[in-house]
Amino acid sequence: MVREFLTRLRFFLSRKRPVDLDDELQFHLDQSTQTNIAAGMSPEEARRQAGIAFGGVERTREQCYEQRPGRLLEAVLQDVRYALRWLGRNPIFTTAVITTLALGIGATTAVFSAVDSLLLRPLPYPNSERIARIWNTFSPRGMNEIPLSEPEFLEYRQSQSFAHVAGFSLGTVTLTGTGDPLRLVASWGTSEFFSVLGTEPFFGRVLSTQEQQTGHTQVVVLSYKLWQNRFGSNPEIVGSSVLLNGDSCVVVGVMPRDFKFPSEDVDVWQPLPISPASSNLGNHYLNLVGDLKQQATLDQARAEMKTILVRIEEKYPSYYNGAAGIGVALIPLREQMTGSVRATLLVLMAAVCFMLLIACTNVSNLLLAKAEDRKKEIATRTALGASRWRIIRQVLIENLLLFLASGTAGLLLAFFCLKILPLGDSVNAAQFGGVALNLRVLAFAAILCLFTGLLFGLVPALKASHSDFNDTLKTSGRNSMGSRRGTRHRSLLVISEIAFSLVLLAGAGLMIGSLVRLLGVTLGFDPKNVVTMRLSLPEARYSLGRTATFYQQLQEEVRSLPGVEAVAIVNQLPLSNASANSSFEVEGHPAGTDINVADSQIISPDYFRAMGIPLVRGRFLSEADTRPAPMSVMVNQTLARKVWPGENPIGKRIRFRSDAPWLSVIGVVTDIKNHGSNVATKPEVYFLHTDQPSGLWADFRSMTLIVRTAGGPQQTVGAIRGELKNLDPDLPIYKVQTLDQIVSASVSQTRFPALLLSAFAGLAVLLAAVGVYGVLAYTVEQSKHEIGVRMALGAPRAQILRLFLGQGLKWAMLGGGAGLLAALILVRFMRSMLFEVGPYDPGIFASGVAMLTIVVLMACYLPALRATKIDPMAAVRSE
Amino acid sequence: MPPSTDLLQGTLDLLILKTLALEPMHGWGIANRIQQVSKDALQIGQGSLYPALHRLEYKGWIKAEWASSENNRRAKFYSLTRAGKKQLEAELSNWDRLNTAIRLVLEQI
Repeated sequence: MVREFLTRLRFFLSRKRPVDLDDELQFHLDQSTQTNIAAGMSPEEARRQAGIAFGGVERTREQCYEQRPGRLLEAVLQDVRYALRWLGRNPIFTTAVITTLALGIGATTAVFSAVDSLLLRPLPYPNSERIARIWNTFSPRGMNEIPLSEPEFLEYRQSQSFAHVAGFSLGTVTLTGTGDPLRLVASWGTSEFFSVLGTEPFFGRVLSTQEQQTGHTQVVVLSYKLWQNRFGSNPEIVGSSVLLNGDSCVVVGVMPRDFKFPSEDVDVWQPLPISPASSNLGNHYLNLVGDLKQQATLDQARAEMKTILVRIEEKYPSYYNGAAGIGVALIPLREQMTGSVRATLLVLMAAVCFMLLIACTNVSNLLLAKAEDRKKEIATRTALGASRWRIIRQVLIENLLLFLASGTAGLLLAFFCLKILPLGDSVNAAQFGGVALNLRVLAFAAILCLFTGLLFGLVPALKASHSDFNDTLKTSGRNSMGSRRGTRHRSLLVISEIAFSLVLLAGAGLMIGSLVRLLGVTLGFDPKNVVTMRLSLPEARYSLGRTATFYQQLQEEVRSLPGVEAVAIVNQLPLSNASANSSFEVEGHPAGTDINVADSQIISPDYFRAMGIPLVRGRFLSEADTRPAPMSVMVNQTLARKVWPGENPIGKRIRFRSDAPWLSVIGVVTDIKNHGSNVATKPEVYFLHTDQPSGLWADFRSMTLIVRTAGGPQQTVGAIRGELKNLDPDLPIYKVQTLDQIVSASVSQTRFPALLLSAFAGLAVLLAAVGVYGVLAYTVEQSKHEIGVRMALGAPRAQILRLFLGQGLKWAMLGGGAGLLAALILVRFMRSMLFEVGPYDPGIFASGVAMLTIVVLMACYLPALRATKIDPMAAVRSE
Repeated sequence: MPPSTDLLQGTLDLLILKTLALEPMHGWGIANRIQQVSKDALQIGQGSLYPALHRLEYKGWIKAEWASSENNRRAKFYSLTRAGKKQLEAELSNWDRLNTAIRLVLEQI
């Protein structure tokens, strides 16, 4: 085998001289002649007989050559060279094809890379496919994901379906002692936390069970990012101490780079000791996560959790009494993490595939037209002896080369798109390890390229090889009527392009409609010229009294800065996706008749002025309301309307716990969109920030500073930082954002797909227009003769124009109709992405059809006009 | 001229190898020898002979050298290589097996 291969290789590298073969064959011929002469023939006759016996020299020579090793490869290379030359000779055609395809393949690859990272690639946790999040639900209030209390966790933990169930909570701590104070995102988890995920630490160890005992919890596991950025990747970090919130904690381990649970920005993990005797049912702060046992299914686990819930309700009858409708929800981890993005991504993927189809259709059209042009060339080659397979191979190689070039260009395009577009950010891909072009994405692009190349390249290739060369050579281009079949084929392509474009237009229209409506929502506050930043005072150094003094001092200092118009603090900024809701009691209303729940906001008196929220009735809170004890609150219109319909809410009283004092309503403010433009405003109560929490579960130490300036809010940030440093040099500030940025980010879930879908739809319509133009221009070119005859017979130019515009209109109607049907079937998948726009909005569909029809007619106008300019004499004579 | 392509696929290779096992020979000689030995039953046309020779040479079973012929003309002489001898043995035993098998079938049915 080896020897044979080497021999072949030797012959492959060094060719035989062709003279050799000629000499050899000549010798054979001479030898035969000699024999014939010896047999008694005359020399002339001998040579003639020998020649007859010998047969075709040329053919033998060919066959001998064909035995050469690598003969096939040589032929293919020859084809490739020829193809490259041919493509080089048709630069416009080549550029058009490559640009069109590169756009399609590039966009598809870019979107696929996002799909890959969020929906396909395994999460970076060994148990990820078996991990589920566990929530309580409360259907009467439409609450789907309620965190759990410690006693509930202790019961759920006993589940037999799960190997482990862990509770965790998220918060922030301040790192001091090493350079500037740094605010870190911390995750506190119960002892099973790391077992659930199954990830091994990068080095060191994870938290042990003993460290979940009260008094042993001064340990910390660092994230890779923190270890790298703050501790210079120090390999001896394990065993050393760091200061967290002023407490010394021993570093026991570092997690791998891609371990980002429970959130992408978590910096440290610490123990969460929970006493087995805990009976605090009211504080729902625990997030639950568990990994199913190998043999258990999610449905079994659901059923088991339901029975546990019944047990809990029986164990604490007074707490759950009357709260019918509590349930438990198990959500697979990936589903929980992808959430609403999933639908968006799938819709985008479908859209981009439609665009790719249109691009391919266009290219197929171009290739078909080109094949028509080449009929003669191919016929000549066939006549010279090229086999059908050889012709197909030739055309196929050309097409594959085109698709290969386009694929490469498309990949580059995808690469740059991912660099420039915030695709990863807008789908929160960081938790999944980010969006990137990995091997799988490359393989996808390669398969896409090859598949489209074969599918859309083979038809033209087969068509090209099929032509009867005799006919073609004889007719010599006299095909004025155009073959009916070819026309129908091209019409079909154009119609499908129009149909696909309409689907995309409808999708984009619905998203834009949603976006417009979303942007048109009155937020209720004025986001112009406001900068915000967050502060967290460490509990160790700040008592509630000191906290109140600190925030008062800070506001006074900042207020005196130049350009500052108003300063305030709030515990949860609007649109921050965080809220604390509590149920309250209304004076004079019998308890338990109605569930009154309100978001509670802790503010300083100037909050409404800083945010630009107008007063409806009553008065604003003032500093005076905090002394001697805070007895006054403000409410929003929704709460006033809901609790005291038709009554004057001023002077009415509410309380949040039966043992807390009554609070009087002193003013009503307008509703604001606290939870985002697309969420209905909830009832809201505003409390003053004081040193006396008066029965509220809230963190008075973590506040957001709001500064309204005369202009250029970003420029005051430096000065504010300076003031802060004077007050407390160890305090980090974070989340420095303008209110405008926050508002803009809050609609990104709609804006991003809207922009992307519009871009795809725009490109699709453009491609379809090019396709229509191309096919009609070609038809006009092909029917010059016919047009000439018609004109010669007296057809007016307007009639010719109408003929071709009518053709375009027919395409638009057929394609539009098919597209409308497809769109009506497909848009329902977009329902979750829409806002105040029904998926079957007739206006949007109608304008889509109208727009497409106009574009198609415009694309038809030029070739149709050219048809009317044909000189009948020239057209008829030319052939 | 009777068609020489009636030979079984691969049989021509075997005949060439066997012929060359005796002594180095040029193409015309090979064709002649096979024709004589088979009493004119097998006539090898040059159209199949030379491609076969080239194929065998590319496979490394035979090698070619230019030398003087009987009548002092330059001719291309083919001879078996070591690999070619091994191949001949393999093909001979193959042929025997096939022959036996076919005879068995013909006698049985």
